[in-house]
This record gives sequence, C-alpha cells and structure tokens, in this order.
Amino acid sequence: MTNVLQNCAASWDDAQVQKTARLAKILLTDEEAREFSRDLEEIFSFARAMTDAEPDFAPDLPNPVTRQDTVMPSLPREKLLVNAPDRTEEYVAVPAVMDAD
Amino acid sequence: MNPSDMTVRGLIDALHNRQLSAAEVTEDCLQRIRHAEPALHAFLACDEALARSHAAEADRMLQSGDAARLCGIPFAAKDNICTTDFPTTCSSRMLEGYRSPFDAFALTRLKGAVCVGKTNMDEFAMGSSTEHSAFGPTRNPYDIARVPGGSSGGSACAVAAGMVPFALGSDTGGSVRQPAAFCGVVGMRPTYGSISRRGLVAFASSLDQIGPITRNAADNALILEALCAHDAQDATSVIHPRRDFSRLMAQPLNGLRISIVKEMMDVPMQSAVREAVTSAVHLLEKLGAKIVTLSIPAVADALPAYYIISGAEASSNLARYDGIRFGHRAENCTTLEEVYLRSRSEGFGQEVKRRILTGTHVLSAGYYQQYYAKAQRVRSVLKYQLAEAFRTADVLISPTAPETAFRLGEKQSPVSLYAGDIHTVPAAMAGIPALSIPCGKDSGGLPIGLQLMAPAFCEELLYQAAYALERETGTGADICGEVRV
Repeated sequence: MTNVLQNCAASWDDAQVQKTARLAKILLTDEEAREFSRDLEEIFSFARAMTDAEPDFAPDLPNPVTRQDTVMPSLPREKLLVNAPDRTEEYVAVPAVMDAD
Repeated sequence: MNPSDMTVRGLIDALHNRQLSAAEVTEDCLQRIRHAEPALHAFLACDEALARSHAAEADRMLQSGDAARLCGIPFAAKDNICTTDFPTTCSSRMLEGYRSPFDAFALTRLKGAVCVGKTNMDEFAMGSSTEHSAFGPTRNPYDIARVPGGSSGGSACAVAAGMVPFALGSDTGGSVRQPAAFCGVVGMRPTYGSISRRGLVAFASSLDQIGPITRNAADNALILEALCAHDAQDATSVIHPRRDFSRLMAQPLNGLRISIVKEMMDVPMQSAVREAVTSAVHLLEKLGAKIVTLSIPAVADALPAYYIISGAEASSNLARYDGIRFGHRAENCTTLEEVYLRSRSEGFGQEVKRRILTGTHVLSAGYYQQYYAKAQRVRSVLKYQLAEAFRTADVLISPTAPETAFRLGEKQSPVSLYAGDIHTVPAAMAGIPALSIPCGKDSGGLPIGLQLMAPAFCEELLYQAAYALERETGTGADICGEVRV
C-alpha cells in the first residue's frame, strides 16, 4: 500500500528523468534532464487529474485475427539494404556485440 | 477552366470527358506549388519531373478508356505514409533520406492518381502545430505568422492554398481534423480499421488512421470510398460494411438527431468558435435536424488518458529506431549500447523524446497500474458512454478545436499545446468516425472548424450533415480566393 502511495507522489527530479531515459535507451545531458524534468512534472500532474472510473461491465477484449500462413516472396534484399547505415554485400554491419576473446 | 479552382469531382468529369488532360492539371498544380511554397513550406519533397511522367501515364490510361476514377488527379501524401517514389522522413532526422521498399496500401488504392510530393508534419505525428518538424514549420495560408495546425499541417495547408485538390493525412488524436479546422478545409478521421495502416509509420497503433483532406464534403466522401478496403496484412483492418459514403448526401436531414456534447461546450474556448458552432447548430435545426444536448462525463478524462495511452504505444513503436537496420546511426560508436543511445538521442527531437519518456514511465514496473491501466479503464468507459449516447443521437457535434490558429512559437509548454486536443481526442479513443468542416471565420479572418461524430461505420451520416450545411452556406467550392498566399 505504501508503495502505491509513493508511486502516486513520484516527482520528476533529474534522477527520475535519467532513469526513465536509460530504460528508453536515450542519452540526455544534465541540462536536457533538467528541462525534461520540468516538462514531465507538468505532463504528469495533468495525467494524475484523471479520475478512476471502474466500469461495471467487462471491457472489450480483442478478437484474435488470423490468416493463412502462405509463403509469399519477401522484399528484395537489395531494397532493404539501401537504408542500412553500414553494410557488407549481404548483411547490415554493426559494432561487435561481444569481445572477440 | 482553371484546374486549381476545381474540386476533385469537377476534375474527374473534365479528365474523363477529355476537356482537360492530366498533363494540364498536373502542370497547373506544380505552378501553384511553385508560387505558394516559398511562403508556406507545406512540402518536404516535390518532384516535378516525376509528376509529369506519372501524368503522361495517366493520360495514356485515360485515352485508352481504361482509367480508374482518380486517374490523373494530383495529390500530396503526409510524410509518414510510405512511398517508393519519395523519401519517407516523418519530418525527423531519424529517417532523413529513408527510402521505403514498398508503397503504403492506401496509396495503392489511388490507382492512376498523381502523387506530386510528401507534406510536412510534426515529427512522427507528435504535435498539433507542425512546429515540431525537424525541417522547419509549415505556415497557415490565411496568416503566415500562424500555424496550420498539426500534425498533418502540410497536407491541410497544401489543400487550403489550392496546391493540390486533395491530400492524405493521418489522425491519432486529431491530426487530420484540427489542421483541417485551422486551414478552413474538410478533414475526416474514419472508423478505426477502415483504412489499412500498412505503410503508415506507426505512432500509436490503436489510434492511428489515415484520413483524406479535401475542399468539400463530396470530394472527401469520394476519396474515402477509394481508400477503404480490407487488407489481410493489417490485423486491425476491417471490411467496412457501408462503403457508399455519398449515398445520403443529397437527402434532407428530416429528423436526423444531432446532439451537442455538453462537456465539449463547457470548456473555455474562443468566443468566435462558440458563436460559429452555435450558429451551425441552429442552421442544422432549420434544415430539419432534431437538436438535443447529451452529457458524456468520460469526455473530461479522455485527454490525459489519450496522452498516457498514445505515449505508451509510441514508446513501444519507436523502439525500432535503434540505428541498426535503417535510419540515423551515430558515428564512431564502439559498442552496441552506444549505437542505440547516441543514435536515438541525435535522431529524435524534443517532443518525441518527451512522449517516449512519458510512455516508458507509464509502462514501467510500479507505475503501470497507476497510469496505463487506469487510462485503459477510462477508454472503456468512454466507449460505453458514447455507445449509450448513440442510442438517442445519430450524430454528435462540437467545435473541432477551442480556438483558431495560434501564432508560431505561442505555445511554449507541452500541456498548453495538448489542451487544444480536447475536442478531437474522444472520437480517436473510441474508434468512431469524426469529420471537421469549416463553419465560419473569426474577426481576424481565421477559419473555424465544426466537428461531427457518428457511430462506427456511419460516415455517411457525417457527410449528409456536412453537405447540407455546405449547400446552405455556399461554402466548399472556391476557397483559394480567400487565402492570402
């Protein structure tokens, strides 16, 4: 219960902004984090004004949509590689994921 | 016959009767773009040689008698709609120069029409002014110191300034309707699932829909008829049960039940907007509609719920921009993590980052119930209350936006911009169709938009009411004469 109350009151200090940015894989300077903390504080106090309405009926559930798994030609490799920032003949080239040793 | 002054229907007749050639129509369009573009910046890409070559092909089809309805009609597409002929940038540095390997499904439905270029927008469709484009803002053709609205500002501007007879935009929380209102043109958000999202760059997948922007209701219905089709490769695509959207257009309104939404009129708004909407309601009553007022309390919570849900979906959809397979990749990165962090930081603008941070937070452990789950409940209640409202009303009515076009740079804080979406967000959250049509001007000559909403798959009712208003007020034909550029 205490946790929920703490979450309700979570404020957007620079540390909170940086933590969220790390989750979103975005790099922020200290100044950017400060600016975003002001913006997000404003956005979330607007969001917190939302009243909780418990509907007295079951909400719609999505219907799973399926189709036949028919093999079709793929998009041509060359057209896809045109947009690759770095490439070899056949592959997108990226920095090493792991050390060579 | 000046093609720039003609409606889509007028051009179709002239082209199929060979009174005009596709080459002439396209040339006139390109000339109009050359004249207006320096002041307005509606386009990010426009290719004259390509347009001429497509027009020549259209003329061959028209000559042979084997031409689709829209053959030879020039149009523009918002830059989040994938095209093989032009880059698709979403007005973002992240996708600068990106070449889609396929055309969006919606474009394949416009066989023979001549796409002359891609229009400016708020980056990744996040915004209501087109000021958040990485490539500079578009300006309102009624007053170039003001915004055209957003995020489909380029498309709305291009139609309003007579550059193209129709354009495609996309609407997630109002991004077709609000710029249509600010630019004095007609913009439709169809029932969710009506138009395939394949090839529409995803922002919020449960909300995004492509929508046509035109000068009048009859043209809009015609374009929507062409665009609506089931697509097996979009799992959210539906078979629209009633695709003859023009069917009721000439019918009198006898007894059409139109309801004012109380909560949408209770918000602060510009007095000229309130007066114009009230006048339109009186006019509809005079034309035979039955007017009531209904309360839909969940409307008041729709706006924060929208920003939570759309932010959450955006944070998920934009995770694909990681600098790996396509899009911007930061230079001199030594690790994979660095590629992700620096590419995304360099590629995305401030508003996009704000939405991603918002969405990441509401989906994260400890906050999910407080924000995202709550917003989904609000959404369910809103859908239920709208369905109840439609038991006693055929059409709901409201302003499209609480004010007319504001000045560039005027809205400094994010929430001040978000507040303008109060009227458009509910229809998007509920997946119902909504149309914005011009209903007057304020004392500065800026257009005011009227919004009509209907139950799912009842677009024909919207066009019926809109057409009746246009016929009575004499609007929807020639608008270019009033535009200042």
